[in-house]
Amino acid sequence: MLVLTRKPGESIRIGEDISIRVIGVQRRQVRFAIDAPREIPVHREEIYELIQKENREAATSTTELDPTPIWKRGNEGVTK
Amino acid sequence: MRIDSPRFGSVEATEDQLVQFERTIPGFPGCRRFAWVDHGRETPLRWLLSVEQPEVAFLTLEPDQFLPSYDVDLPEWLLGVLEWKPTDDWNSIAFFALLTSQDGELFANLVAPIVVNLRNRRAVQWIRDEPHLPLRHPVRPLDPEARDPF
Repeated sequence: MLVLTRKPGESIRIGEDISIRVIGVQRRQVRFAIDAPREIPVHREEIYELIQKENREAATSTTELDPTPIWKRGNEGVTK
Repeated sequence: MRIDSPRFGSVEATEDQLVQFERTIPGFPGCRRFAWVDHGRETPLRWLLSVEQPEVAFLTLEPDQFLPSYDVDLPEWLLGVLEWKPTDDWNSIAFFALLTSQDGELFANLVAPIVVNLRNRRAVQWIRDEPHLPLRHPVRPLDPEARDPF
């Protein structure tokens, strides 16, 4: 793992076209400005992990499921 | 194209029933192409069946079916990835929520909907970094008469 030290206003470049600049440091928070091509998704790590987990749960929780009765039951008490 | 799925058996999918994900679906890096399979049985539910890993299928539902107030403000990068141009028909963009089953109920992930350009069948799972959106919103069918007219 590479560890670097940067000051506010300084950047890190990853490959040809990803640039991460430190734009502010306040107490225990750091703000970054990230420039990346649109095919490179950029997310907060915990959000990405949350979606990863929920996607896996979506697939596995419905593998054996017949959703028809759940939908029909819901239809009996439709929202007016 | 024929897909042999443990759930659906042998599925014959034509080109217009396929979608291509332009970005990795978190948790499913090997799955880029999916085929639509209607659940039918008088429900609006549809499955997205993975072409590369046919044991993977997602149950999906359009948010209109249970939450007409689900607002979207599509960022430009997303429209760019879907190759949607401002001169294109807005109706060619469709949304689908992935459903999770828990304790005999269905829940929709409203944080990360699937967005599809129906014209070219390009798709993306859009991760909306907005704290008010629920990861599991209970799915209850709407009364057809109470549907949002828009």
